[in-house]
Amino acid sequence: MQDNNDIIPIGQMIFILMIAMVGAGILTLPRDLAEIVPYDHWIVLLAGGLVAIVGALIHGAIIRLKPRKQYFEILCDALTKPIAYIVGLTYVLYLVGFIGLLTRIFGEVIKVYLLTNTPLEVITISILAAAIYSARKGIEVLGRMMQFGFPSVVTTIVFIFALSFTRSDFANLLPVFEITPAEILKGTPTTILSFIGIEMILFFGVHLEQPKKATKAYIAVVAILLFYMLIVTATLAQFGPIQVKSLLWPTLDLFDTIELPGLFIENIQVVVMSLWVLTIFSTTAPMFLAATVMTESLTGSKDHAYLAAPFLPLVYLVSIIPENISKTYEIMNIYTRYVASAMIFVVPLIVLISLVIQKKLRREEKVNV
Amino acid sequence: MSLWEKLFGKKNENQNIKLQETKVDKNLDKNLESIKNMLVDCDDIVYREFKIGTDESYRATLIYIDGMADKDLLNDYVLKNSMVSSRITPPNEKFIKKELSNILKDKTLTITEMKEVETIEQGVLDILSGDTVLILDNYEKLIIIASKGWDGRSISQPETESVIRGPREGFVESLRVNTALVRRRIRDHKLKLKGYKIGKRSQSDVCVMYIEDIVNQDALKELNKRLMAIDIDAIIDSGYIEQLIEDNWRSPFPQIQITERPDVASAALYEGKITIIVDNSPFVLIVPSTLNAMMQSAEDYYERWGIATFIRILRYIGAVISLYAPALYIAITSFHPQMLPSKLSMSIAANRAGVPFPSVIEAIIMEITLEILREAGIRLPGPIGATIGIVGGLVVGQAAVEAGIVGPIMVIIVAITAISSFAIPSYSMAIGLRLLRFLLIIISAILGLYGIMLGTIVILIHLCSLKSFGVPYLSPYTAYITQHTDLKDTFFKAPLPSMHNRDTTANKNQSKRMQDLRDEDFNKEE
Repeated sequence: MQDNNDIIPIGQMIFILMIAMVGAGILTLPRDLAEIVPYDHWIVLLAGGLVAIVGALIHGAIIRLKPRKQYFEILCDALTKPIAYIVGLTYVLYLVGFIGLLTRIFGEVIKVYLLTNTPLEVITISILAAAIYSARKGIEVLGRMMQFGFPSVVTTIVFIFALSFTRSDFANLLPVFEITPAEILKGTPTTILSFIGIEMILFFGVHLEQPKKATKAYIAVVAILLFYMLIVTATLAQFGPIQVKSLLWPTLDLFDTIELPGLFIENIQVVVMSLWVLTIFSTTAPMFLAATVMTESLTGSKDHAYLAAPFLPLVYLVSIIPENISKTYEIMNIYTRYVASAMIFVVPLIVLISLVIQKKLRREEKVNV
Repeated sequence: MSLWEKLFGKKNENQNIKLQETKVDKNLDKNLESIKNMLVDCDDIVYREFKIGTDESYRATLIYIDGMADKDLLNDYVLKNSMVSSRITPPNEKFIKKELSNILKDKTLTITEMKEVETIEQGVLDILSGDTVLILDNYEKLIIIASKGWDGRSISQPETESVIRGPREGFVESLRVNTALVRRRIRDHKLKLKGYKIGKRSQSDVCVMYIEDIVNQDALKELNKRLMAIDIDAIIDSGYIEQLIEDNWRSPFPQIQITERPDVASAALYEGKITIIVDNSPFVLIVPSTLNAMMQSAEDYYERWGIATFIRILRYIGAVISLYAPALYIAITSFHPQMLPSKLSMSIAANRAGVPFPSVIEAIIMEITLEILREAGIRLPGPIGATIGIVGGLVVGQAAVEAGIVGPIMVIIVAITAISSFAIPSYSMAIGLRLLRFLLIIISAILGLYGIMLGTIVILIHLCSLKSFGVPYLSPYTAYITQHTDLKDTFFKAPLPSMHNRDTTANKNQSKRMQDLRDEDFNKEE
């Protein structure tokens, strides 16, 4: 009965990707956009989304070209073994760093909104422990879990935003179509980074039931792009670009303004925070799994379950490096701008080009023979 | 195999000693001797020696267990026939000498079920199962007469799964009665019954039933493998089998559905599932099973769909309340009072002002009291049990509030929790949720709402990792894209005319159950 283990349909993969992408970026996305351009934020977001879709297509194409292979094996094929080891290790370090920063931000948010007196360590370590538990169980469980949770998450989000729109002033979004191409180019890199998590398909592509359908991953990006559009529009319509710039977490402040007349819960924060915990969990859990899977290939080990727990101290160390929340965001910005773009766009692009050239060469050889 | 087992596990020792076999001898005395040797000091065994033939020259012995064999049957159709009737019309002397055994079997004994065995051990096992052994002189086989007949409970209404509408029959302790109850509902030659004898000492009869062409073949193979692997001295109840073959014994959730109702069992068979009937147990196991199946009641299918859907949603709400209510109360009162409307928050605080304990202690005291009450109510005989409920629930609750040990809202929360947990149809599921409730109470006392969310995530991971004989425990909720037809029978129960597909876990070739009749107009005049 265990022989069908670790195979997931593309639908579940899309669910994993979607929820993995909505990480810490969602809290600050409206502010980041407002800092870059004063109007037409959605065009900048759209541009970023388009780039992310291209990225998703590149990843999907790699999986299609090399079906049923671990990402490390693909790296070996494309870049030769020594380089593959270096790149693989970089991926692991990148993931560890990203999870670390993410959990730090998570801890700070929980500390502000839910548990004022609880030490940060308890919050970060407990969510990491849950992510490790999930990583030990493997991809199949993760896929089922994301699929199970998705409808309720979407319903709640739609409900919350429907409430928030009642008090919005859409004049805050004006003027439209005033943006220049130069401004779009300037803003795009920032927005792309809200789509971190899309690279998960590289690590999990080996588990796909039908690798031919891997390029469908772009659906996840499209859905998330629409979701971000909704958030950005709602937040900016509520506060206006100038006020958004001065808010630490504009998205969360948006929910603070919601009032539920006559409802049992006075404060919608309960619902939002539960969603927030779930979101961060579903971002860290796939990344944890990806890191363990990569380590498994690097060390040539057979069982990934035992490799998850040793990451806990590493991730925790990263999470305590920044002195405070603003330092965390500084590091996060630099980190995502350079490291993440390289790992998500540059490396896969090189891999894809190399694979395509190899394929061409092989075909020519056949023709020559 | 996990790393731990590789490093520290023991080698599997094969303890199966093959049964010793003694061939049946020609000499009656010798056979009797060896059976008596095996059954020494067994006072309930009856040996009835008698003689057959006009000149009483052929010796024979009947062996059975007093109380397990049907004595009327032995008197009227075995002893009377062979001792009296055979004398009235004496057969040919020469002929009888060689062919006595065949004459007995073919002409004399008016018994429906008979077989022959060649070893003493097999014969003894049959005696112990309630059958009767007939030993003949000069014959190298033992004749086994099916004479099982003991008093059992008659078919009555199932107590754990009562319904308003639906059949009132329930399974009983006798295996054959139970298989007949199911067979009566499935007049299909494709319904197969496969017998196992499990338990080295108890040799309990276990019967696996399935409909050959719609059963989930992978699950059937897996079940066979797991049943064969059981190595235990005795099976007392189907609960033993359940615990020995379930996928994850660490889990608080039941992974095998149990039922007392033949209609539920046969409906499961029609869905491609497998039922396991164990002798001496009125509870029948159904595999593979899912969380969804545990939340259903037989009645849902007999009532119309709107009502069934409404009741199912109520059950799910009940499950959620029974899991979360006390934990949420603790989290909100101790960590996040700002979540509630200020008036409610004030009233809770005012109520709790005199209570000396933190709310977690309050909750644990009340929950434990309630569990003790529930346990006491089950153990006591009917009328006294009801009294306990009133005394415990009303008097103790009221007194505790007045004495200022607990707040009144805590009493309300605990009462709602208890009532909600009774709304869950599966008793084992309700117990599982009860255990997890305590877990959530503790974690919510440490980490508040964040703790509850964390607990939920961990429970969800666990639920998603569970499988029952290859079927994911949360299906079809975790695979609603590929198995969207199964969604018609979840917390939403579709109208019966539109449920024309069988469960996707069943055999793919038999996915159609019925024609779509939705658009048929019965009132149309021809």
